Amino acid sequence: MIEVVNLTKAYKKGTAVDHINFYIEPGEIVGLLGPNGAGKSTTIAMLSTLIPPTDGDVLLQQKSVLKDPSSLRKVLGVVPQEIALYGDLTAKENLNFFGNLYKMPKTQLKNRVEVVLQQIGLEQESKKLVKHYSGGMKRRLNIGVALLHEPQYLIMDEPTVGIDPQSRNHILETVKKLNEHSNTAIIYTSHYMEEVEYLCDRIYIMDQGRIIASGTKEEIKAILSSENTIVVKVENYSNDFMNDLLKQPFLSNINSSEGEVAFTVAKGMNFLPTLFSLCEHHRVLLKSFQVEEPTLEDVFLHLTGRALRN
Amino acid sequence: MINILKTKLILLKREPLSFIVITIIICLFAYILGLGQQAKLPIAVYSNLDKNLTETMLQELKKMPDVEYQLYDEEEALKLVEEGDVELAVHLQASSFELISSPNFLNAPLFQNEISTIYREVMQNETIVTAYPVEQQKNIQSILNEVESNASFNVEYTNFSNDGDFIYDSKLHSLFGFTLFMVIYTIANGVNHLVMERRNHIWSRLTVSSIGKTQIYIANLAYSFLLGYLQVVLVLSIFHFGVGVDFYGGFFKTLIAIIPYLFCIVALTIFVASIAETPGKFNAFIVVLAVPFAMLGGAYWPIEIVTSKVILTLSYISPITYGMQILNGVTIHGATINELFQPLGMLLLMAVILMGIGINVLEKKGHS
Repeated sequence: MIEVVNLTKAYKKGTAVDHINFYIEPGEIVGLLGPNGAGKSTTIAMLSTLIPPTDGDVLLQQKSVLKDPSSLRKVLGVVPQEIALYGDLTAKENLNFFGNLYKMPKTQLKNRVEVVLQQIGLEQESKKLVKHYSGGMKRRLNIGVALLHEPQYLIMDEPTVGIDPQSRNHILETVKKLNEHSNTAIIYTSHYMEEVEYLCDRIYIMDQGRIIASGTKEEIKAILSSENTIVVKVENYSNDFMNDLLKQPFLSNINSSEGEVAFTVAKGMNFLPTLFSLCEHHRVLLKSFQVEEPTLEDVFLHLTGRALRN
Repeated sequence: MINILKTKLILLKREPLSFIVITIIICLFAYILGLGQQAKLPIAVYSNLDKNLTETMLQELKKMPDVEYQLYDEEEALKLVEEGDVELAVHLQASSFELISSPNFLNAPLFQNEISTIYREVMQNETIVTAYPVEQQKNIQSILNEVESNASFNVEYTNFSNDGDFIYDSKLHSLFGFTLFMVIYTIANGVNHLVMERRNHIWSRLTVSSIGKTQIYIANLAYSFLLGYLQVVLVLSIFHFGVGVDFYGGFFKTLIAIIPYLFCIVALTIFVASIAETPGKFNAFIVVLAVPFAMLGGAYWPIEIVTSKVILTLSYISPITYGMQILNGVTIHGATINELFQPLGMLLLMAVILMGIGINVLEKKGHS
């Protein structure tokens, strides 16, 4: 098990990570969510022993790894957000190069390269220079490099940024299979809430350097269990209509986009008369409305006051 | 470490253009500025001596470096001087020789001395040989040749680097100058790998692997050093073995003596890498540093001819100054390690300071 204890990183300009605590057990997938600047990347950098913390500790099997990071590095794979590969090498050459850094015996490395190429679906393209790969292929190889030494723990920092839906699905399936077949524990950060919902057993939500919520998906959603999310489709939508909605004390987390207005109301609250009267007053045509269970996005909005991708 | 070096060499093999271009530029500039301008001074010769003696005299005269003696008849030789095609003509006679020079040729007295010595020796030998009967002359000539090659007294001329004399060999100067200057770019290209790897997070990947950071640094620095060294060996070998430039017997010493300079340049580029955030900025900083260093260090022209005290003082900050001192030292001056202690020490001191600061700043930035 990896435990993060009171981990802190302070700079002259401020504190990027402020006394956070979390853990990850073998075989589970943990999501780390947070808007830009929340401190996720700094947390990952400290967790992967790239930068030393100002305070706190990272424990592997209850032993600190700060003084001797090699024990953690042997069992940890890191998939950076950036494509950290040599464009002028082929996929096979890249895998061989990074595999050699883990001092793997030649025959073992040869086998692992073949297995990893299969896992990431690049066995047919393994002799092509990486600079000629598509974005999705580069992302898959970026993951493959981190899998070579069969890590027990894998940190994946936004592994699906900027790729087509097909490659994204392939990556998500690869991650799922990896977790199921190899029992690899994964820390997964993403801006895509649906990815986190699909993959993760537990979730930590970070904001302004702190962990502001944690638990299973159900536990996190239960934060909003006393509320319902209402999505209303309207026509002739106007700013005055929105302003009047915002003034209603029983509506919260109001969000609008392209003829859709979403808000949360307390369960049991009869909001319909007010909504109808506002529509009539502003001559807004109410086309439909839907009562939804709260999503992680709603919880995130509720906790941070910001949408995840803002 | 070997793995990193091997990978860098594969990358060099796939993208060799800048290495090849820089090597060609050094060769071109060194050739054009050093050897291209070194056409031999033509001197016309006409003679009243018999054919054999004239040939012997010409053979001896042609041993003078940087001068091309050509035999003409009298009318032709005088016409060449008149028309300014040659600066000097030599008229060889039985009892003496005569120099006919153009009015602007100021080195006639120097040539008079040199030619006089040669003329006297040849005529002396001729007098001795002809004093014997014809059947013995061949034997006497071989005895004279033997005496000449195994002289009883061996007189050597040496120059001391500290005797204040400035000895200038334009071929070596331009070769050394451009090599020391341009190899900065080659080494910088090697170190730029490190800047790019930090930028695209390959460096992070290396850092979280099982090999130590020291090994990563050593591999990167060794690659840059070897890249520069390979280029220097290549260029100097081309000029020594291919073009025939005289290294005064110090060719192999040159290959060893250049090592501290290359080490210092690796340290300098690491220092620049520590303050440059991007590969583009790194290249810009290198250009901004390398050109003034070359000017101040005497890569373009000998620093000995500069009279400005400011420039002479500034030249102490340029590694090229010390590089030129060392290379000239081991070739032209035949200097020993003791005599080169000061430039060697300065290069190593600069290397240690720049490397220390550079790596520390890089590490601090890596932690922020």
